[in-house]
Amino acid sequence: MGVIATLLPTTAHLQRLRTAIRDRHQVVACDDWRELLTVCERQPVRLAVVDLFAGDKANFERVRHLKQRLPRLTLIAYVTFSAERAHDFFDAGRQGMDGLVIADQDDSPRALLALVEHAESKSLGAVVRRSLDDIQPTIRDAVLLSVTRAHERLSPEGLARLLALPRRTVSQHLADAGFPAPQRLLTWGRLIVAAHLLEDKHRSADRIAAALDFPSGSAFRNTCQRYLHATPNEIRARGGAAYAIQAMLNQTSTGQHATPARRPGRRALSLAV
Amino acid sequence: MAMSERDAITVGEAAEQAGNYLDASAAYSAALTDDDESVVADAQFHLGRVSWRQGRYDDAVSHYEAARQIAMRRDDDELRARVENGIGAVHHGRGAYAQSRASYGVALDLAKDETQRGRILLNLGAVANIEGDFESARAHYTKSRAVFQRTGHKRGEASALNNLGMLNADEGRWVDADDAYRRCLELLESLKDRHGVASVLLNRSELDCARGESTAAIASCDLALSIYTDVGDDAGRAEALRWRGHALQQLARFAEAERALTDALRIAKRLQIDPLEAEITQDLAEAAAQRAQADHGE
Repeated sequence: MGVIATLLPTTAHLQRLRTAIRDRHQVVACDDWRELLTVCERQPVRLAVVDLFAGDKANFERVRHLKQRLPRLTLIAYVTFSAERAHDFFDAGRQGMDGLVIADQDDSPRALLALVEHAESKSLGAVVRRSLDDIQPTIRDAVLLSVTRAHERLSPEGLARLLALPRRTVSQHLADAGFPAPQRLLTWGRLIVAAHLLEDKHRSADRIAAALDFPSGSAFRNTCQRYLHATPNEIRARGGAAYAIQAMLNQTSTGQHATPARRPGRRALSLAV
Repeated sequence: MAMSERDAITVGEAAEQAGNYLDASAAYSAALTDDDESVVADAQFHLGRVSWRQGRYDDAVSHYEAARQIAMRRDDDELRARVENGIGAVHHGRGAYAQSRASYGVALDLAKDETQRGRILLNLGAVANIEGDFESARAHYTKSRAVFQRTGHKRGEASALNNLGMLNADEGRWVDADDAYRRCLELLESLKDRHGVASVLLNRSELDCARGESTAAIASCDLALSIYTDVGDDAGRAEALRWRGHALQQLARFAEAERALTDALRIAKRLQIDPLEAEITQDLAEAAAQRAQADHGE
């Protein structure tokens, strides 16, 4: 993920977050909403952890503004609970907060780290979901699960269980849609997450291999070669997760994703300002 | 004093139209010191626009915000419409199409000036085009072209023609596409708009690629690349490199293609242009797969 922006006036909260994530992510602490917006716009921030009550009152107008300006930003509220704030928490959900940390309850280092990692895989999940817009729901769910649960080392049976379908039916659906068999799909899921982690330049292939439970660094590299025809460095240079997702889709036997959208998104269509 | 700073904006516009963005920025910046707040707001808007043209989106947003603040204070709806339209274009550049449509919607509500409404219609057409709603895109482009013809706004008409050319290309109507691009290039050359010429050249290279004329496509990309380098448009360079890579790939020159695409990807990442980054990674994946296939075949 790289950079996490925070708006946490309570020093202890900021300290707990820093302790939880150690050197996994860079934390940019902001003093007010304006600074937070600037940091989020100018740095590759995908997650912001904010105290909704910074400045005493719940500030949903700022949350809305932030969400409006940066729709892909994941927002987590880190707050101290009190009875008079209960309605505000309810409103927070409606304003599009993606997660909630209650101080002294959910903020042990392990819980905080899990929340951050979840947010990270969630943002990756959003990328995968966008790539699978026109795929039938069962296949999309299977691919998404292979990504969002990559760290759990799911078995084909586990995947089928999560999909609430018999294993043979899952295999049949995947085969009909030209997708890899469950075991291979699960490996693709791990590779997509690995490619996403590779986008952080400071992460080594060995650390990623360990994080995703590959038997060794060289086993991870071999898998990269076999599936992606590339070394971890090459995967990083070619765009990380987006590259791995596209490579997987290109290898589906229907080839329905092999035709690239040739229309450049930004430059070629003329805009008038 | 105020007069000379107003003039600075006119000088900046001339430089901007000629594709000299650095000179344009310098001229617009000079107008920021004017005592008249409306001149400052206009300068901020122009700085936003030139930053957007250079792919410096964060800077563009800052300038637009400054212009918007003044416009709100002065109750100047026309300026607000221009700013909202500009912000919409920044969202568009970043691939946030729902956001860009929302901004254009606000702009259309505020704008009374006919040419300005033509601009917004054109931009709404571009969003529809990208989202695959070709019918709506054609309707918007046709309306905006009619507006621009009525008001004698050649640049706007060229933009509408460019987009109609792309729409025709999307629908496989190659002759219509070629005709629209030809008319568009004539208008842009008469306006001496180098940046616009580079952009249309890239679109024509798409047409060349689709017709299998890869060598012609590479020549168009090289010309566009030299213009973008000259005017300091990094996003344009990334786009030109991407198309160059695509044409090279068609000629089975995979190593050169990957080099061009990797350079393009580096620029797209640096500028945080998500759609372009995604498209280039897709091209890279394809190039790598084709190279592997070719190596395997040998």
